[in-house]
Amino acid sequence: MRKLVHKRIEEISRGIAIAAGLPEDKMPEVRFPESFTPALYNNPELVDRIWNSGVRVLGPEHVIDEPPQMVGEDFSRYGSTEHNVPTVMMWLGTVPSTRIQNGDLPGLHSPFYYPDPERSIETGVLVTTTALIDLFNGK
Amino acid sequence: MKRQVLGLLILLPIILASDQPDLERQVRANLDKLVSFYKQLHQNPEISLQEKETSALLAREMREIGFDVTQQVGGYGIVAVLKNGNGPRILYRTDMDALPMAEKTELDYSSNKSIDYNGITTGTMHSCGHDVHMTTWLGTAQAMMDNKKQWKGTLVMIGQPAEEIGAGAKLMLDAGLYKKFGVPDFGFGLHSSPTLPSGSIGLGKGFTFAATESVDIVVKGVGAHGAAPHMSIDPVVVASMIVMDLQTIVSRNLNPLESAVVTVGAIKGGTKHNIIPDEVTL
Repeated sequence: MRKLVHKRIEEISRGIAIAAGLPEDKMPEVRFPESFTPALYNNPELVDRIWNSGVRVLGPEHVIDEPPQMVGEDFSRYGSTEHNVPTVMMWLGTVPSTRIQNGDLPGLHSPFYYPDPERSIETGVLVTTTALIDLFNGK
Repeated sequence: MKRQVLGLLILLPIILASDQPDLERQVRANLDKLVSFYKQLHQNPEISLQEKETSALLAREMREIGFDVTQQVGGYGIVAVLKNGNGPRILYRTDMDALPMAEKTELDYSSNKSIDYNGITTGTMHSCGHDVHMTTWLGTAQAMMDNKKQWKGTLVMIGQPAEEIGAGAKLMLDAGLYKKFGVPDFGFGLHSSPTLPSGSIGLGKGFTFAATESVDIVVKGVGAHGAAPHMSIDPVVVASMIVMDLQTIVSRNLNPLESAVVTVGAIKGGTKHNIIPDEVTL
């Protein structure tokens, strides 16, 4: 699919340039990067373990099953080497419920994005510390 | 004798339940310090590959907690290790970079920083929550140190540069992260969610984030006076048509049951109203 998208970007760019009457030496230059960020894979067994740690400290209603998203994260690389390290990236909620109810939800990369620092950081430290200690103890 | 047994029975449930509330109490006690650290980070965002002060600050804090810190592991990457007996080796990563965009929140700790970005003066902002990630990371480091007796193993905490340009993880791995600091048994990271309520976490299994890359298209043309378009081949018009046609890749070329996104995030070309430029970059 990636190859097909590349091919179409090249064909479309070149085709429009030809239609505009540009000569061969002025065709658009399409530059693809040498490497791309691989898709992020959350190891299912590790997700289960972190899920359990999260439920224990936050309660089941605060551990949410999140669907995949189309953003990229180069954290994926740590699990994509030849060592096949099992990795998990966890979402940390950052918006007070009242703002969710009001639809006041500027997204990531929005100049208006503002997380709720106190609660987010408290939750982040609590869950991460618990999950790490559990992992160290084979839980 | 009877009294002793009773005493033990009452003590037992307290011991069993003490593990969690202890940690909660510790985290709460450290929270004011962490939130002011967060605000300091938020007011001083540094973009990809320029995380000099941010990484130095994190390195200093981690040394103070008692971690063994190595700096400059792949650009401004830092590796902080806590060896605590025999056990698994776990990697926990935070990213450190911000974005080249002006903050528009009206928070009293919003960022006023600006930089020269490819010749244009632009603000910088932690609009991807990496300041939350770093603060959580630091708070966790402190909590892992404070609770050293409860676990055994090696905790490898890394501060990664340049996440926003998809370069930092590669930089750190290429600089020998696994060779010098060992291959971890597990890797963990977290990301701020702009839609999940604070106080909660989200987890998904399998492929949860997409493969991504950034493509540049340099559209050439023939420049001329804006009032003499017949003397030009206008790259602004060519580029506009390319932008529109790129929308058909996902809608007309891909199987509708598969997912992809093509976004043109920047168009650059021209200087002045009445000059048709000879180049536009997408």
